[in-house]
Amino acid sequence: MQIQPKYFEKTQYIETLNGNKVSKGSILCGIMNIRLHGKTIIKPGVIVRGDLANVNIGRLSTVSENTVIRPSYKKFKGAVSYFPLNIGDHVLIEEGCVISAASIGSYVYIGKNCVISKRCILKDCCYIPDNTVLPPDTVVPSFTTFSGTPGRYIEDLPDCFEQYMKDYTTSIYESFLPINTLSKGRS
Amino acid sequence: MHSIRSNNHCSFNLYNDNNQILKYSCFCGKAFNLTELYYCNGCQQINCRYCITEEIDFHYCPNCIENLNSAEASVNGNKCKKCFECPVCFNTLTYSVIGSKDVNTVTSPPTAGVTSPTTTAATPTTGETYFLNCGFCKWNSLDLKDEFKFDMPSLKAKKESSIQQLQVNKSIEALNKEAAELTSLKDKKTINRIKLAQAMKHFLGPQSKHQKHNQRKNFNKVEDRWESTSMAHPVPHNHLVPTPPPGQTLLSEAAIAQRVQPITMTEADQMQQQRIDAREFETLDPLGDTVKYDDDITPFLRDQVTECDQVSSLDQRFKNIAHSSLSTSSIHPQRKHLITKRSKRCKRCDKLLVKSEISLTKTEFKRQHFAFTYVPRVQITRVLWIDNDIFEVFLQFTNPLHIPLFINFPMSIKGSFISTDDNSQPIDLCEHETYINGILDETDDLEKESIIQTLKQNENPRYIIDRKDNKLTMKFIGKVGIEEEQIAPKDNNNNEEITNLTIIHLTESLANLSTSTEIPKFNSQFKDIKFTITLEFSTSSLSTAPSTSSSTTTADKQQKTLLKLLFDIPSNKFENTLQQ
Ligand SMILES: [Zn+2]
Ligand SMILES: [Zn+2]
Ligand SMILES: [Zn+2]
Ligand SMILES: [Zn+2]
Repeated sequence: MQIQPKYFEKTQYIETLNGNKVSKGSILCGIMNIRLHGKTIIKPGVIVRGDLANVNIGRLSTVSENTVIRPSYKKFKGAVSYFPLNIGDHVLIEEGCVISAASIGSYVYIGKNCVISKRCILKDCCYIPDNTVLPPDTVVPSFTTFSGTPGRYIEDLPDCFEQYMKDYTTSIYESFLPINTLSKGRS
Repeated sequence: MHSIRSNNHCSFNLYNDNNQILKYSCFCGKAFNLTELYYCNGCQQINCRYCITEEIDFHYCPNCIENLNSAEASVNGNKCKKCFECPVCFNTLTYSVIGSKDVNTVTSPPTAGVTSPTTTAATPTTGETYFLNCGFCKWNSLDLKDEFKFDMPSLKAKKESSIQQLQVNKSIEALNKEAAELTSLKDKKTINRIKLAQAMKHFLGPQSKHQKHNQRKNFNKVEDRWESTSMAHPVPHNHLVPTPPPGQTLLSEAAIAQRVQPITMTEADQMQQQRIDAREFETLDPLGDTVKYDDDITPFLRDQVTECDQVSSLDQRFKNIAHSSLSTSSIHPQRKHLITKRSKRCKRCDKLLVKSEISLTKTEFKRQHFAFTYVPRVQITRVLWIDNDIFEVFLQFTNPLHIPLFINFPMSIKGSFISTDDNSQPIDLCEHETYINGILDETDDLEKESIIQTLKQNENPRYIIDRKDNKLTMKFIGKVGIEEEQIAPKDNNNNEEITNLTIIHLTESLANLSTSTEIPKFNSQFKDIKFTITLEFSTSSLSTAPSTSSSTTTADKQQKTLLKLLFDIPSNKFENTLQQ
């Protein structure tokens, strides 16, 4: 089935010149340290802790409702130092997740209610199904599925996952429409 | 031939209900989600995972992402030298320093709660002793023997070998010799034999150089035998590799012997009898000595156990097969299993379909023939009832290529239009050839351009709904129930039999119901509506019919690909199904 268009109230979102759609119901702390690379969707209830360290979110990525993005830290010689958090392009993060990874590659799918603990590294093209808890310092290699509590290697992903995610995230972005177009949008 | 809806292999497709609705049939008849299929340029057909052969390119550790070739991997029993798995929760363990201030506090092991600051492998400091620590369940190796305490956060792997390994080495040697002889002659039969040899080689792993040395060592280390039977994981799917009988490993001597000896009739009868006997349970005298607590907690342990966590689970015992301890306190951490990167070949013509880069940091491929990037992608945009048991489907075809694709819905094919389990069939669809624009609409070919123009002029707006970029939306009408004469006899294996599709043109008023504002609701007979749409596609024009083409038939070597789309649409996805 084609992705059904999702309509949003135009007054509830801030649209930037390069196509980012950020909900007014989201909390972006330390907004100077947060960079959205364009065509990124931030849904309501999302908290991004840019006050702790830099957060970069790539193109055509979506962060769904009530997800918390919080840069991770490490105690080093008694002092706590925070790492910047980089999220790649074509990443889909579903609802209710806690993301404390050190880096998330491109073409990554993270299901509902996942916990990506401190300093995890997710490479390009990986899939984390719903309700997975990745323990601290977990490395998820390319083209793998990690699931369970604690999350561990389950199986390989189809080889065309990159193309699939490109297609999927693009259509998610294109079907996320302001409510005004509802009247003329349907044919 | 009837196509069958097969279960998608990847859990990624299983979790996603949407990816189960539409399946593409492979040439062999099994249908999967498009992402799990490949497309062979040589035979112009789809390959499913049963129609490819896999070869291991290299092994790597999922945690430290270290690349190893097959020889290196097999020396360590297909396990990583550095990384350990928690014996309790199977999380990857981290190396921690014992008592960051005083090295000599080993005698009084600190409790799990007061873990010293963890250090990464990158910063080894001399004079410190490391232990293994689980960041998830707080298990640590402090209570274990010195085997799991290290001077450095890396350690030498011990050599692992076994009786089986030595047996295997012998057969690999023989296979290697044979393969070398055979590569000189390459006809179809020998290719198959080379395949078998290669398959066996990959399955059994390459030869260890330290045979004799290990042979002696092996006498007093029984548990090594278990550790070295570990295989590369996941094992590539290969139809030439035999599957082990349940309860045995493939390389156990008993299993090898069993495969070599032919089974006689009397033996078969005996086995039958044994199977019958096995159904009757032996009655045991509860007081007699014959009662064995085979896998039970000993009375001694039973008194000790205060929490159920203290007894190891089956999973934990399977991972720890050398010890299989009943209590969690004495199970040992295991080395991390390596996983594999595999290249894939077409089983029909041996053409390379997928080959990944050796570098693990890139996701690029040296060769990528995914069906996803070669076959028109289909999405259902709308589905609704237009009368009792008559439904309308709007399909959006996406051309993944840069050049236009020509598609056609054949009215008669060899084989069957109906797939196994179908309860519906298309009855009204476009009978003329049409096309889907390429991604950039590059048509340097004038002849093609003219065909497209003619096709566009003759286009029937009844079926062609919309064109946009590389997308084409078309309409189909189907009905619940199957015409008997369209089902090719199932027991007849003659694939050459031709079946025809009957087209019923519905009245315009009925066919245009979807555009009206008020759509009445209808009952659905079935919970899922299953039907099959057959189409042909090619990069050159399919029919000779359009007025211009006289040369298209001869000059083009391009064949057309027959594609069967197997739909399985839950009735609640229909716009106007009456809810019960
Ligand atoms: Zn197949
Ligand atoms: Zn490793
Ligand atoms: Zn653990
Ligand atoms: Zn082929």
